[in-house]
Amino acid sequence: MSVELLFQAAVSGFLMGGIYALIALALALVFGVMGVLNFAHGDLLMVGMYGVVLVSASTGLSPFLAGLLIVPAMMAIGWAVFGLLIRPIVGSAPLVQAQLTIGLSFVIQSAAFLWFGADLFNVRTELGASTIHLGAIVVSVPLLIGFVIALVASGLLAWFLSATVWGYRVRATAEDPVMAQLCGVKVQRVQMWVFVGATGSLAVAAGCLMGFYHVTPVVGLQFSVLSLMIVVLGGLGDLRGAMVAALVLGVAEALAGAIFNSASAPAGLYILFGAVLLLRPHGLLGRGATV
Amino acid sequence: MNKFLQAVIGLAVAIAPLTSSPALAQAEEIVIPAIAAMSGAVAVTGQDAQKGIAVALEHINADGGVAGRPLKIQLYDTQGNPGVVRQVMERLTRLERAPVILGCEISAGTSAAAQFAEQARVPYLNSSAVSAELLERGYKWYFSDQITADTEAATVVEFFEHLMTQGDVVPALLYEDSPRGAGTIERIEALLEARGIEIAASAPYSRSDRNLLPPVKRVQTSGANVVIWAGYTEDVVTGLQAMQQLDFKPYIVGIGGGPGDVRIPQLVDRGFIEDVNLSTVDYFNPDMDRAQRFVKAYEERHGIVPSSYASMCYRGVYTLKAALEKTLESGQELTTENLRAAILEIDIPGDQLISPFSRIKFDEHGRNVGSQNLIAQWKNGGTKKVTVWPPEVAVEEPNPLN
Repeated sequence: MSVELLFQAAVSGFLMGGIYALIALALALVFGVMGVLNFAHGDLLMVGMYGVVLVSASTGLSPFLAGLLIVPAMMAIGWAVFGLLIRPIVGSAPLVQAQLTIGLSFVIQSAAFLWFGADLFNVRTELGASTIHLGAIVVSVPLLIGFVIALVASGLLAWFLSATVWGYRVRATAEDPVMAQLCGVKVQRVQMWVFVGATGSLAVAAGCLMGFYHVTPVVGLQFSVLSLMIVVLGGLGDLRGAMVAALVLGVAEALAGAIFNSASAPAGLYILFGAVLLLRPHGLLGRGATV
Repeated sequence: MNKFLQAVIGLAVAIAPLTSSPALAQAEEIVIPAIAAMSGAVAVTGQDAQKGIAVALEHINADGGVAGRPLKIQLYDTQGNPGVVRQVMERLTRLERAPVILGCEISAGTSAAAQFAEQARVPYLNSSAVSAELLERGYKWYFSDQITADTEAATVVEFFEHLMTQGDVVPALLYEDSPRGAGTIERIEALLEARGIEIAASAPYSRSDRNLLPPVKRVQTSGANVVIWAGYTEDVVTGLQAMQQLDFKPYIVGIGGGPGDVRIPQLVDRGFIEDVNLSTVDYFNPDMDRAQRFVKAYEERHGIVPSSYASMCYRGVYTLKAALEKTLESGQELTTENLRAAILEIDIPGDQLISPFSRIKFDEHGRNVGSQNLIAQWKNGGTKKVTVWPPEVAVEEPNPLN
């Protein structure tokens, strides 16, 4: 195994990790603010990915722009899902939340099968095969653009939470909803907007992914599992932890594939996951809720 | 999802204009169950199978049905999950007492189905799974009219030897580590080693890998100029994009549904498909003369060119029809025992098939002794998949080694 191969894996894994971060931040935020671990998170992302395919196919826009364009539609979906399904289970037992959101995941998958069939869809652009060569390391341009957009979106989210009145309300609700309510924060409204915003952000992530990836009705499951791993690794409810965990996971995933030369390499991720749970039960940065 | 889809599929699926003449309409319908992964990660195989079955029934019933009776196939969703396969098989054999079951199921599910059929003593006619191991278990009720991993491996190595006549060939193996991919690759590895051919790199990957740059880079740095690649559509699309980004253009000999998927030109840069001489070992290609009736009807009905998945179940329904007809024409009831005996007796000549097989004839292990592969290659700017090997069925010459 060459050093070049390791660098190649680390670079592409790091860029993937940036996109994973944007996906997982939305889940972490929802968990932090309303205590709901949404197992249909990846399926909502899958809805966004199909949306990007449809918009790109009908307008010719790049997947990145298409992702931005469908943000309002995804927010509307988020609003409906929150009102119908999530609001009633806020504060319920984790098992109830898990059952309901897993059920939602199945419903979304079935709907995708019925509407789109099992075929694979992607968005082909002129940028698709573009690369930048850094010595012997090849960087995929769509992946790089996706990474930059995801990073900017994550930065905007951090700025929103730390520098705006709405952000203070969100943080107050996450920290202590009862106290926040006593201080005049309309907690339910904050929770609704957080879910709506998180679902909207998945449209941006979907655009980033569709620059180089594909969508099928079952693609959501892998992103749900990945997001849950990132949120737990980062420390439940800890956004900065989730960001770091996403980058670590992206690099670890790629390095595992390069080093072990085995299809069992993904098992390495679960070993890493288990090790962090044992050694850092409050997440990588030690600031999350107990796992 | 599971129950909902099963209900929808159980009620609505399949299929087919059942009557083509008043006499056929009045005759008692023969209903045979089939299993396929209609949902889940490999749903594309089952959905294509469903389309192939629909065309087969249209043709069979238009041609007078089975001994004058209309045929219907009731399709059951297994999600490609062996656990669900067992549930469905239990229902079909114990509750519904099916006299025979048609399998359009992937290898993992077929393994479970074959085991169950053996216990229940119900003939299981596999038209999809290529696992050779299933035929070595000594089953009495399992029959496969499909090619196996052994025939695939032999075809790849024959083609590889053809390439060796054109210059230095350095092979590497790239494969999705499912039983399907790994099984064939293991056999190829053994055949190449037996011929003293050194393999430059062997790069397995998991189906869940979203990033195929590392395994592709590994193959590239090995210096290989021919890549033998077993994969499904998802990973082949991702892997070809990785190759394009790495500017890696080996001669690709593919195995499995991915490299030959008719949707590949819509999903990957067509110029690059031709640059890598993307070829695929297959058991069907739409340009074969004998497949034209099926291809035209399929295009009319579904608006696309049929995939290999669609062809295999079309063929499977015809094999089933032969067994049903043999039983009925000899005045026997459609029982499990009678159908098993009929399956062992059928002998369908190659020119009546849409596959490149010489015939369909089962040996005592349930293996189709007439099954054989072809190699198709994407040509004309990656727009057309042309049969190039073996020379007996080739429509054009294979591209030379780069």
